[in-house]
Amino acid sequence: MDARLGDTHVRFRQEVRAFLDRELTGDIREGARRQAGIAADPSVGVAWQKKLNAHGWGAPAWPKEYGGTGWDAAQRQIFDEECIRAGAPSVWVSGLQLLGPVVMRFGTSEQKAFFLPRILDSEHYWAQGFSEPGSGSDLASLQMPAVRDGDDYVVSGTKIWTSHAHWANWIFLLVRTEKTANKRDGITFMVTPADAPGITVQPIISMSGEHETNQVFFDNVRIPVRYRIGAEGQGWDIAKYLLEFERSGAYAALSQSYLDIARRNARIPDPVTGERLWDDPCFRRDYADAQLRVTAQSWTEKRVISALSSGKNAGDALASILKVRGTEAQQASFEVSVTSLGAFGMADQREALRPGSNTPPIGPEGALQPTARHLNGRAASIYGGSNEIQRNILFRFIADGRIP
Amino acid sequence: MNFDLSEEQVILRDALAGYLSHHWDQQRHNQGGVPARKALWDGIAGELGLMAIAVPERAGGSGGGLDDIMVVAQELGRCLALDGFIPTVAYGGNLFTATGDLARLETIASGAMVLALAHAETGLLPDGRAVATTVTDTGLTGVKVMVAGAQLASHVIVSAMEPGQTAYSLYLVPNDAPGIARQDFNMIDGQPSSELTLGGVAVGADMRIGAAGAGPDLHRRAADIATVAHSAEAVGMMETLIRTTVDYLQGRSQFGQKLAAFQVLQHRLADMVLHLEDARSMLFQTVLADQGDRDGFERAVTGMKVKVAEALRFVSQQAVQLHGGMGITDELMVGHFFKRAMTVNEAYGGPAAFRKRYEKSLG
Repeated sequence: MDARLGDTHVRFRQEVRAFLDRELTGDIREGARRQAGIAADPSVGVAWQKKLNAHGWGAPAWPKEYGGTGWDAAQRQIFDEECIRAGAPSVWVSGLQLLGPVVMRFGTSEQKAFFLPRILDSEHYWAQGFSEPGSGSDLASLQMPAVRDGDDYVVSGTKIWTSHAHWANWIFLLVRTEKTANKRDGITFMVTPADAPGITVQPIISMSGEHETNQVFFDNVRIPVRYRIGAEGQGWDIAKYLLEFERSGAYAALSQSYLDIARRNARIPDPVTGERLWDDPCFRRDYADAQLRVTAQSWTEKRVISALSSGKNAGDALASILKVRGTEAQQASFEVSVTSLGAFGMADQREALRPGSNTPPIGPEGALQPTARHLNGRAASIYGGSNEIQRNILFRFIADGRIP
Repeated sequence: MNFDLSEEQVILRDALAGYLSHHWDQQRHNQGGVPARKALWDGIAGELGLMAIAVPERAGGSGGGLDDIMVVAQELGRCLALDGFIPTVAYGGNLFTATGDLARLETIASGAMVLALAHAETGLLPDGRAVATTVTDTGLTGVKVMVAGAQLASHVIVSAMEPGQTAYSLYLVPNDAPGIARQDFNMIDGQPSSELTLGGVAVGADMRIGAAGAGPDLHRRAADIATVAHSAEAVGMMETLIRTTVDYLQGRSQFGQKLAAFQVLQHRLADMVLHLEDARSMLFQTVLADQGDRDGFERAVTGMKVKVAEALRFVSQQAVQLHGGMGITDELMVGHFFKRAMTVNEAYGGPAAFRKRYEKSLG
């Protein structure tokens, strides 16, 4: 056993750090500080993505033949960790991380030639239309019908939790092309321009007060057959493939960055007595508990990278372990970062968090993000397959004798 | 032994529930701001006379006890209503009872006095015990942060150091006194809140509450009573959260069955109820404790706070989780309860401050 990175990966980390030092300018950094949700506002995220792309780092998860970096799993992890550590904006994942790999694997050569470069240079901004009001955890029960009519499908119905749809110019969808005995068999994957006639985007405001997600209504929307990805009825397999990409991530690095915020806040001495929250035994215990979760998680992430590097895919039990423990570590860290603010943790910071805002946070500088992150972070144990569903998946691995 | 409410208390609770069902709803809570909160205050004070509940009879009140405050706060918690009740009736009522100030108790009883506590300052220590605000010949000077309810208050209670004192004193300051600059914002639970900059606010002889330097002792007693009220509020909130979650799980189907049919979710609900009932037991213990026994009452209050905060955190987080995506939206009340749970837990110093006092009380 050896946890050390090889020389090439050590040098790669230095290269990424140097790049971030140079390119992460003040305005992008300030924009990133106002990100309390899963991704930065596009005004910040797209600008950053363009910079990455200009450097040839626009698509860390893509092979070189499609304009990606061709990085291995360890390099991708190093890149994600360093970006979070440096305070870079999170780039929106739907095109790069989710649709891109799907098009590469299941798309026609025309689809690859059309979509992949446009994802890479940020011309296309994608939203994901999977869940429906009645189909959340039970995604395969989705209903939205797509009826073939000449060279088009006609689609009517509604999708929910369509994050960033109000900014997107394209949406990828799971639709039902056939009512089959096994409900997974009648699902088809297709894409549509977001401005197609009949599409209406209705905001869903989150409890942190932000507008990140939406419900999208489809009223007889015509989707050309050439926008179908894969065959009719292949949608479920495609979705499963795609969700593998949704469930990987650098949970530990983000969690650690919030523990670092908590540490900085807690070490501010009281202006009157000089006492610090950092020296309070109750706070220290909560902090230490969260730190231990994050430490365990970061080593689980190393194990996943190691497994991926040796050719195993991320769709095994480790992906569920990563998701459950990663989101739990995040939630614990976000909560400690709120606690580190005392009463200021209860302030609604939405004025200061608005993209481009010059309003200072209520309380110390470190009060800007934690509370909104904590509120938004509650969603992480729900989306992408809830933690209850992940535990069901884990049990199947256990019952089959595949783990431990 | 009998832990049932009295007949009068049941009538009081039902009257309040009836009033709230007609005059307070999600729309008013989420979007009504200061005017909606003010209207609710005036209505409840005027039509139900609730602000008199714990004021002694000799000051024109109903002479009720901590159990009556509990009944009201619990009902308010069920509907997330009337954030000014606890600082005014529980906290302020206790302060003025302690100092024998019948005139101010009468003003509370009438509903004309609405209080906000201006105690915390820029430091991050949980119980805001470090006070830099001063009172000198030129008046009150300092900055008070996170003053919940200041936009609705008729008066703020300000902690400040007098020259030559080692502990702070408390002052009752009219909210419109010259020299107070208010910067308004909201708390996450939608409560209007403010930062107050006191630039030499003139202090009259009758504005100090109790003796010079008596602030910490007066504050701790009053804050403990307010904490009992918040714990009752928390119990009411948990009742609503659990009921709402059960209804949701019984109404929604996934994988061909009601969510309520999944054993893991049934057990989660059972755990939520177990937390709630722990909290209720601790609340009853504290409400029935002898307030004359300082050590015993302190142990009861601080222990209660620890358990109630733990329960409210668990129940509110799980209620959101079991509501799935809908739980994290602004649309359902569960998210608003979640945010109120955070501020209730943090009120008067947060659970850690109480835990330390409880541990100390064990000797």
